[in-house]
Amino acid sequence: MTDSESNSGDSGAHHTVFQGLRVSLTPAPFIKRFLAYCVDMGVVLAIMYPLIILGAIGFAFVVGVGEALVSGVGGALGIVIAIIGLLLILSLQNVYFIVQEKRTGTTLGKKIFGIRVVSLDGAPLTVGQAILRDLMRYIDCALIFPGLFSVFLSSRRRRLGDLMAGTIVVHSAAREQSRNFMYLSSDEYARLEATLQPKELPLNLGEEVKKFAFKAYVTGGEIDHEIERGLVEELNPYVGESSSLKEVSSESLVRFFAERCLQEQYR
Amino acid sequence: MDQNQGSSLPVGVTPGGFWVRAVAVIVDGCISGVLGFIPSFALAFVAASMDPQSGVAVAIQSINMLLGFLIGFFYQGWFLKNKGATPGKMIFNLRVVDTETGSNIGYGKTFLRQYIGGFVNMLTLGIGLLMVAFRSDKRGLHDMVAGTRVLRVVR
Repeated sequence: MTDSESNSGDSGAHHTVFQGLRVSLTPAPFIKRFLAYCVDMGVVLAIMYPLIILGAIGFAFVVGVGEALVSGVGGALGIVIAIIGLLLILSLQNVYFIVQEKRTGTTLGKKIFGIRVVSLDGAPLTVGQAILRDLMRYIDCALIFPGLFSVFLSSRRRRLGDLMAGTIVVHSAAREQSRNFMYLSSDEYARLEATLQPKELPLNLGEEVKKFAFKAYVTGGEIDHEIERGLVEELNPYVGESSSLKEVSSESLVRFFAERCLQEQYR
Repeated sequence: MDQNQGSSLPVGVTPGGFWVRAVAVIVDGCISGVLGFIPSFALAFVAASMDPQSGVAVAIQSINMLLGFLIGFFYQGWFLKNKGATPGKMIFNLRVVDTETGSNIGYGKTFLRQYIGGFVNMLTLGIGLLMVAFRSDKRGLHDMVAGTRVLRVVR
């Protein structure tokens, strides 16, 4: 486990090497963390809401049955069981964060905004770190939001949970992988990009390629091979000088450039 | 309105089905609800501490409504333009694309889809939404109005 850090200032660009892999340690901006948190809480709410409603119905049922079976005590017992149930449902929120952050260092919200949680030395989180970090969230968000003060006053935008667990929320290079490719798999795309060494297409050609590709490969019935060949002709000048071009089929070429034009919107 | 468009999609891409889209919309509602809650709550708190009839209080309440609209609009608009899908849709690998080019839609089309389309759906008492369930290409009235489709990318 080698550890080498290159520092260039407090919240500036950091990186470290953990088990031979380069891990970014650039602290993520607060706005991304906040938005990711909103998304995560939204998802959690969406899951908890129906469960709570079901729970409420169950509550009424259990209390009713309890009262019927052992009048007096039974009802009270039913209430206790129901409250325990409610607490379990509410703790789902914690499970959501802990499980995801332990396994991948990200949650759905974090994935969307391209950030992840890592240990200070670049290592993935341990179970203890994940649990501690998550439970501290209650304190971070208590009343006057001490976590907020912590984020802006600490050296690397760490909230109280980060400080206690020895973690940091960083930019994630893995955000590239979460894009949905429509015309070819991400591996094929990467392979073709390396093979073809494509240049930037002019706007109208890009539009034409996109329109044809969408019609031919995604929605339409017949692939008009005339038009396909015409497009391949027009695309030739935008491919690097390489003999491996001959091994690429017309369809793959058009698919590749269509995907490329789509991906451009992500920049 | 060609209904046959759903039949020739390649294996990796299918039209987004009704239930998946419905759940995605619900999740999106929760997320933008959470997003809008803090400023909305703060504004409501400020307005509540004043005389409700006063001009300032009314102004604050109006700003609150406008803010709600803006947050909702930019939530949809930004995500659909930059990522092709809102977070709720991302959970299910859904993509909202332009029917002609397959690219992400901009703010203009998003407005058409969510607000004009939403209005029309309301006028038709939800039939516009049920269309998603019954058409083979799974397009709702709001999709028609904006010229969009919802695809599910299965990888």
